[in-house]
Parts: sequence; C-alpha cells; structure tokens
Amino acid sequence: MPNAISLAGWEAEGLRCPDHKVSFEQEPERVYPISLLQMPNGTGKTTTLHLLRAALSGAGDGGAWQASQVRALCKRGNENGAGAFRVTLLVDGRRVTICLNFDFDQGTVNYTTTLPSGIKNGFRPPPGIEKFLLPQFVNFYVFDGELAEHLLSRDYTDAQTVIENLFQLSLFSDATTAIRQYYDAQTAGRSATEERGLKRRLNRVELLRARVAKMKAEKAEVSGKYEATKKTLARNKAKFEAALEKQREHGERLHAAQLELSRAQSIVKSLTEDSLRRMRDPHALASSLGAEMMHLKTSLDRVKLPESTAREFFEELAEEDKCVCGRDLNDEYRQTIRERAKHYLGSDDVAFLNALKSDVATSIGADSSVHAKDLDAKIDSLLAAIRREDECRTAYNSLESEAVAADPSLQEPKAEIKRLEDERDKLDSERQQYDNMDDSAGDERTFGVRVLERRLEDAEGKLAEIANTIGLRMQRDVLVRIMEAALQKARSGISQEICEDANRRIAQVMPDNAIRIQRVDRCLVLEGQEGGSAGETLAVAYAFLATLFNRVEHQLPFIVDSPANPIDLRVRTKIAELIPKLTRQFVAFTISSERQNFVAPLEAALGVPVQFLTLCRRGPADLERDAQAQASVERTTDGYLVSGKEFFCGFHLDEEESSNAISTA
Amino acid sequence: MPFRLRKDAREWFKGISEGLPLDFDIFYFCLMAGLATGKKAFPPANEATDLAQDFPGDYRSRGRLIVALLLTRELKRLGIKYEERATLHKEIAKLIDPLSSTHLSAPGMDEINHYSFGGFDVLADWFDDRPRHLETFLPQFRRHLKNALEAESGVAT
Repeated sequence: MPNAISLAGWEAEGLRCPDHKVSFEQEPERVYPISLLQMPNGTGKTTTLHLLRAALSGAGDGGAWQASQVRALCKRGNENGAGAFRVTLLVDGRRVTICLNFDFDQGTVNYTTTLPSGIKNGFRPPPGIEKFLLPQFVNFYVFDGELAEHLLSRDYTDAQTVIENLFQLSLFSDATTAIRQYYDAQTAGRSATEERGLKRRLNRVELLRARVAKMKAEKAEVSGKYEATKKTLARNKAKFEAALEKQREHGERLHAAQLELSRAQSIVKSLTEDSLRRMRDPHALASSLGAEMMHLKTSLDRVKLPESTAREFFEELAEEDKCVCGRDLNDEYRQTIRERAKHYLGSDDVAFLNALKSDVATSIGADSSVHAKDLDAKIDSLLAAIRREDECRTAYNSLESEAVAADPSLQEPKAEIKRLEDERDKLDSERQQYDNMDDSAGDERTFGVRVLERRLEDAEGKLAEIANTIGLRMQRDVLVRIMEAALQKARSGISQEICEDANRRIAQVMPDNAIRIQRVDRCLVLEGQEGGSAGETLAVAYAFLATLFNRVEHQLPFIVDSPANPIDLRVRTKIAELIPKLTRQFVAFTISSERQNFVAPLEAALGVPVQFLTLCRRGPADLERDAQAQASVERTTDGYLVSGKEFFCGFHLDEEESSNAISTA
Repeated sequence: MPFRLRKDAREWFKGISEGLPLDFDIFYFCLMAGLATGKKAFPPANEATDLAQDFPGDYRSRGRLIVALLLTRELKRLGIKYEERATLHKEIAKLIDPLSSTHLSAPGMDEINHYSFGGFDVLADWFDDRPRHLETFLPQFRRHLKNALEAESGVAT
C-alpha cells in the first residue's frame, strides 16, 4: 500500500489560465516541502484550482460535465478548439499522470491516466490510492477558505466525512452491507423462516424418523419369523413325507404321485423358460406388432429411405470443380449442394437403417402372424402343463389326506404343517406391506419403508432449509450489531483523540485565544460558541486537518488557496509556524498581500528552502521587462512563470492590480 | 446413456425375479406395456437406476427390432406419415445413433426409458397384485398386452 503521494506538478494549455507548466520537484522524484505559487487576481487561480480538483477526483470523467461547463474553461481566442490539463503525482516515487483533454468544439473532456504500466483511457488511478482520489476527499487536501467554513458549519457534514473517509470507517458499513447481502442471497426463495415453521418441520422429521425406525424393526422381526417358519415348515414336511412313505398301504402310491407331480413341475418350468425366450421377440407378443414393424420396413422401401446415396457423397461433390454430369460448379451451386446434402442421411445412418430393415425382414418374414401363433401354442402348452401340475398336486394331496386319515399319528403333524403354512403366508403378507410403494396414505398409515424414507429425506431437507435460515439470521444480527457498535466506538474514539490533539495545536497557534473544538458531530462543534472570525475559522481548520494528516499512515500533499489572507498579522505568524508540521508537501496559491508576517516565519519554521513561483499574464511592458530580467523565467504564449524569491517578494500590489486590469480588459 | 429401470418396478417384480435371468426382462416387460398403450412417465431421476448400456443376452439380436418398434410407435404418436419425407427423415435422425451400442441417440434413449417408466404404471393397472409365479405371469401379461393392442386398433391381434 502506498505511503506517500506527492504533487510533482501540472501543465495547462488552451485554458482560461495562462498556458504554463509548474514543477514542484526540487530534484527528480523529490518535491519541495513548501511551494508558494503567487498568482495575482485574474490569472486564473480559481480555474487552476477547479482543474486540479477535477484531475485529482475524476469529477469530469465519463461525460459528467455539460458542454457549457467544458466550454467555460476555454481560453479566450483559443482557435484550435483544444485544451489540456495534466497533473503528475509521485506515488511512492512512481509517476502517475492524469490528463484532461478538452474538445471545446464538442464541449467534451476525456481523461487519460498514465501509469508505469502504460496509458489507459479514463480516470484510472492505481488501486492503492483510489480512496484518496474521490471528490468528497480531494476537497480536504485541495483546500480553501470555503471548506474551512464548512468544517464549522452545522449545515455541512464535512468534518465527520473527512474522519470517516481518512480512517476508512465506511468499511464497517461495507461489511454490514455484505453480511446482509449474503443472508439475502442464501435465503432467497425460501418459503418459511419463522420459528413456528421450524417447530412444525422438526416435529415431522422426528415423527418420520420414529416411524421409519419402527417399520424397519417390524420388517426385520417379521422377516425373521417368516424365514424361521419356512425352515420349520420344511423340516416338518420332510419328516412328514418320510413318515408317509413308510406307510404300508399308501406309501408306494404316494411316492408315484410325488414323482408325477415333480415331472409336471419340471415340464411347467421348461415351458415357462421356452415361452419367456419366445416372448423376447417383440413381433411374437402380438401379430399386430410384427405387422407394424413390417409396415415400417415396406414404407421406408416405398419412400426410398435410406437413400442409395449418402450425405457424404454430396458434401464431397461440393468440393469438386465439376458436377458428375460434367457441368462446371460455381460457388452458388456448391452452396446449394451443401444445403441439400443435409436432407440425406449420413453413411452410418444409411447402414443402420438398412440393417434394421434386413433384421425386420429376416426375423418377421412374409407372414407376420406366424410368430404370434407360435407363441400362442407355447402359451397353450404352458397353461395345459400348469393344469396338469394342478391335477397332480390335487391327486397327491388327496392321497396324502387318505393316508393321514388312515394313520391318526400323522394327523397332528399334518395339522401342524397346515398351521405353519398359514403362518408363513400370513407373515409373507405382513412382510410385503413394508415393501409397499403406495404413497397415498398418511405417515401413520404408511408401512412402506422406502416411501417413508423418501418422505423423511424430503422433510429433513425442508428442516435444514429453515434451520439454516434461522441460524443464519441470528448470525447476521449478531454481526451487524458488532459492526454498528464498532463503528460507533471507532467514530467516538477517533473524534475524541482528534479533538484533543487539534486543541493542543490551536493553543500553540493562538495562545491568547480560548477557542477550542468540543466534539465532532457532523461538523466541528466549538466550546461555548457557534463560530469564529475568518482567521479563527482558518486556524481551527488548519489545526484539525494537520492533526488528521499526521495521524494516518498515508502522506498527502496539502494544497491551499490563500493560506493567510483572512488572518490577522499576529496569527499569521503562528499559522506559518504550524504549516511545516501539517504535511510533507504544502503547496499554496497566494497573492502579494499575504506575504507580510507569513513568508519569513514560514521559511524560519521550515529550516530548508521554500520554493517561490510567480505566474502572471503577459501584457504590461514593465512587468515583462522585470520578469525577463530574472534568471529563471519560462515564457509561454500568454504568461510568465518566474522562479525565485526575489521576484516573488518584489511583485507589488500595483502590479497585481495592473495585471488584473489587463486580464479583465 | 443407459437403459434405466424404475426402483418400484424392480421391487414389484421381486416375486418372480428368480425366474428372470436378465434384469433387462423387467425393463422389456415394462417397455412393451408402455409401447402397446402409448403410455410414458417421467419420474424423478432418483426414482430410477441405471440398468444396461446395451441390449444384453437374447436381446442383443433383437435390439434393432425393438428400435424399429420404438420408431413405429413414435412416428404414429407424432402423426408423421411416411410420405412426409423431410419430417420422417428428421425424426428418425433424431432418435437413432448408429454408433451407439443401443443404436439410439440421447433423445432416443430418453424416449425408450419414458415408455418403460410409463409401462410399469400400466402393469400395475393390469395386475391386481404383484406377480408371484412366472408361469402364470407370462400368459397373463401376454393376454393383457393383446387386449390393449386390440383395444387400440379395434381388431384381434
């Protein structure tokens, strides 16, 4: 992050002020700590200050100024309709030039920014110093008597604003805004955000969780009983069948019936597999399906699909010089061929459709009904086999009943088998209700575990949504309160310290004056009085700004219009002694009447050379003669810029008035 | 893109799944019921599972026939006549992908899966209860299918 911003100079051409170029560099990349630029009234001081603020703040960028505002800055007699104002800053020793290029014919101004990386269109200051190059901030270091009054006026919030800008207190507000935006983005589109909704959704989740757990437990229990019953049944049946076969009278017949039943079952199984295989032919399921597929094949044949020629043929033809018929092909024909090629299938599509038609023809054949008839026969055989199996089972059961009736010892095991079979079927039915996918009943009447699990998943999603919302809102509120409290604390603490420090400076500048800052509340609120004289106001403002600029890590230039003009002679000396402590670079626009009791104490307080510059318009012969006689003078089309203390201090009021008279003539 | 099977369809067929050596048999029964009745369904993605990337087993040699049946049913549903060559061409090109192992493009796979999803709802209507014996399921399925096709065309199949 940059620590030092200096004003290296500026240059004006074609504008209301004389064309001039000033440099505040004592040596390359090192500026004078104090530069006094004397500009007599009428030399365009107001214009220069206005342009300086516009350059440093980007105020005129992006078409912000109206054409009349732009044209008001044009030099009288400017014939080429153009003008420029270039300000060069040193940002940690690196040059950044902001240029305003005026087109007075169009009434427009365009900015360019020259950085070490190159020229960019528009007002594009480096990111590290952006916050100091904002319109509301530039006014605090390009400073005039009007702003000094604003600092003490309840009609303005400038004092509060400068503290908040300089100490970046807006970061708290920015953070609050970001927190609120994050919350809004996270909760956008959510239906319920209230605690009542949370309670309702929580209850549903708990109910469903309990229900799923209960159904799973019941299913496991019933399945366990079902498997156990099946095993017991199988054991009992085996014992029972063994006992039956031992029976002298029915044993052999039962054995034969059992073999017959097994054979019938085997036939059913075989015919089932056979039918299934045949049913995998879609054309065998129904003759109409076979007919439909044949219809597809014959219809495609009729309309000649796929075509005998594939799309690729025409695409390749469009690359040739001549058509296959021998005619020359031009671009128009080629384009037509390419367009129409899209109406043909690709070669892969053609091959597939031909294979499909071939499969249909081969598999279905001329008579599409034979396959359905074949399956009919298989199904009939299967149904007959099922009937035969039923007959065998009936015969076996009948024999078994006879045997049981003849042997009372078998009756109890038989009854037990019947009971176990009933039990098994009952358990099987019960077991299956947990696999039921019916989703129409309420939670308490739904047994299907997967249906309930799906409902639970849905309910948990809705619960998470609302729980997250409430949790987020609480976090948002806590953070916003912290940000607001931090802002208040920072604002109050900084203001108090600034006031105390500024009051010490005021006491130094005006030891016999009791004027003091009580607090910063939008403006600077003075102790026991509403305001002060022009001199007091300026002194308080200097003290306040000096305190501010000494407390921040960034060094900024301090550019002041008429730093001593409204101040009485005694206070001027104190102000002059204060200025070197204000900032590393102080640039002041002065007039000759400000020199008394100001220049000498300023030089004495600084202890190193002050830069003296005088800018005046060309015109009066004696003034031009005096200026030309100076060792360091730069002459432009309509002005002189003279460097040096001698000319600066010898520039008299009558000359100033004379210059003014010329400029307004 | 694979063939997909509804989870509840797999569950429904559980009682006879031992007699169905290919899971694709379940998809096929659903598909034929859907194609015969023109019923499609669009369940949420999490209510179906991927089944196969191609036609397996016995279905391998019948893949193009099944695609042919899908084409006839889709052309019929869309009311496309074979004489409307450009429209016919466009629809066939949309549904098929000769380079795919299923012969179907992504839209074609979507369509065949939607028919199979819808066909399961049809099966649930045809049968009062879940099938428990394959030997009785097959004749019943065939009878319901023929009845549905007869009802559609008005002639015996």
